Amino acid sequence: MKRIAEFRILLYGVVVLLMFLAGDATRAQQPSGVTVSVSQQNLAGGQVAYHYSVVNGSSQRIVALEIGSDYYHGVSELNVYPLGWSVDTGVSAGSLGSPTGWSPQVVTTEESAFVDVEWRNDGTADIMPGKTVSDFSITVAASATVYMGCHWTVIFGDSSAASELLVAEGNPRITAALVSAYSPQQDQYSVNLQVTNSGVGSSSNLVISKLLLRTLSGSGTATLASPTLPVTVGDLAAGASTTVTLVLNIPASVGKLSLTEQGSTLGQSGTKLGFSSAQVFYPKKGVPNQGGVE
Amino acid sequence: MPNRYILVAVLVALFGQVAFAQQQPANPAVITAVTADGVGYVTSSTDSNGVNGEIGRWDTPYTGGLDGPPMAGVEPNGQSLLYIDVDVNDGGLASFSYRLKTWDGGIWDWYDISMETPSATVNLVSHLGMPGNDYGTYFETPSVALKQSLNKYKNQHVRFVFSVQQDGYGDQTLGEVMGFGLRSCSVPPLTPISDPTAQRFENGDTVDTDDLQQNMQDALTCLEGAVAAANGTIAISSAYRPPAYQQHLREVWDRWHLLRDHREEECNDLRTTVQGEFQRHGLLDTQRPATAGGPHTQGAAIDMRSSLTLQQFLPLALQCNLIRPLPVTDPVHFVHQ
Repeated sequence: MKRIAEFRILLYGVVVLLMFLAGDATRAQQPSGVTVSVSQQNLAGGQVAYHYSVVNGSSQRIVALEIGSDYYHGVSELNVYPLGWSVDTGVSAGSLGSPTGWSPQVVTTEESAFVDVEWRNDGTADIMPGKTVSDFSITVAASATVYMGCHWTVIFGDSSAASELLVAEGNPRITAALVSAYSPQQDQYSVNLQVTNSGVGSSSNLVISKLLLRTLSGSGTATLASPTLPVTVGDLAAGASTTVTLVLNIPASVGKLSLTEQGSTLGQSGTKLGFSSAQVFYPKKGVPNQGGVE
Repeated sequence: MPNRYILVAVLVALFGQVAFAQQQPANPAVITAVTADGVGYVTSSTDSNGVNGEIGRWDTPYTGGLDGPPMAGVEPNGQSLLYIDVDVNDGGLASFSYRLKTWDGGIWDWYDISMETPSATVNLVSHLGMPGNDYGTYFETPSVALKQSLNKYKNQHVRFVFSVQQDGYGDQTLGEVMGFGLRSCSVPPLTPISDPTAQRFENGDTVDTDDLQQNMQDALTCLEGAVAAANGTIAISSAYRPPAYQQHLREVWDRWHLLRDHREEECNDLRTTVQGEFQRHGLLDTQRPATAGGPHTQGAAIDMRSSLTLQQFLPLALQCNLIRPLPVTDPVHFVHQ
């Protein structure tokens, strides 16, 4: 029985290693060929307008665009609402901008505080393959980062859909998120961190130089077992991501901790840019049958 | 040895007759096998909509609470797998719906859907899980429609892989595939309603206050009395809803959302059907129904308006322990405080 358990641990390790080596290729959604970029415009009185541009590199016409909509999870993401919008009165004049032939509306979800913004057209303004259409915009009362980093969804003329993250125009924008974790042995966790460049500009010489582990509940201190810092991630094209595996020693007395990665990258102009990203992690203590047979 | 069951004859017959009723190629794609693998806990069936499957163990709710302790022996450790094999022949289109139900965070358990071709693996859904890094709360996605063209793989064999990763902790995860078929329309048909309570709602009996939780029933009785004393009335549009009915409402809304601006002919019949359902249920383009895990399906919410002004009505509701948690996005929705 123990040998089976050891074999499973080894097998799991091999799988994780292969995922790491394969990197972006195994993690990415099937690419749609569509890109939606966003830029920010600061207005008088602290108001902010977000402008969206759709590049249709697919073979299908686009008949609808949604901002703040993650199609594959089926959730809306905007909890800051367009300026002047309410359920009863709808959108106020000028807060949602549209290209010719397109009309916007705010879509709520029952039992939820989150909304998305949707544009449809009258049948004369579909975004044809190979075309780019701009002039979609949302104005909010104050800066709201969710409008720069949320998902978009497009619906194609054949009633299929695609959904990906926005890309921000300008510099690279480095973010990191936990995507998987397992416990190879007591008090040790292997955590896969997906590092993404969600900006438009490419990132080169991306380095994680610091990892701060802070206990948020419980007691004791988590430490990094591997890899040794600094970790050179390398180059990330706009929209690309890669996976970094961290092995953490976390005492059973730690109930919750934060991970904060800090580092630097070079933008397209060669400018050195800093980044910081943080996550909360709940170690699962006493995992039964981990690596073994139920 | 994995549990294997091959349904070649049944599926070939089924899809030969049904799936390619419109614009059928001379030698259409056919499903050749449906197979379970991995750590088990996989079931499948076929009906007039196609192949349905449940992947992962789903028989014990997690009771440890948010980020709680392990529950031994109720969750396998590893992947539960369902394969659907297809001989592409002259090509075609595969479409289906998928859904995830889970008690675990997406970094521990997740659902992947891919298509293996002779030369590559095409990722269709990658790492679908509960957002965030917490575990121990219930989460489910709506039924999401997906299509995959097979025309690049003519005269080849492809395999659709539905994989649910489970971590053995006791917070179970289930991946579902519904209505997998080879058809000309990219949107799968609506899932049939089999639950008798949901069918009662579907037949028009849609306001059920008898199945509200007791504290909600008491609060409603209190509020009706208070509003009547103020010479007002209450109009209840919804109270308890069966989960299967809620799933149906969401599926109708999501399907119509995809189909309403359809520019091709292949889906015209389904579009007409879904449009009829959308209108019959009085759904709104600007309000998406909730998924099936919310307060209405637990008998813990009432949607209502009053003839009184809001300034009159809300204090009375509060006196009876009813509050509006979402006044901006769902102003008719009341729950117990």
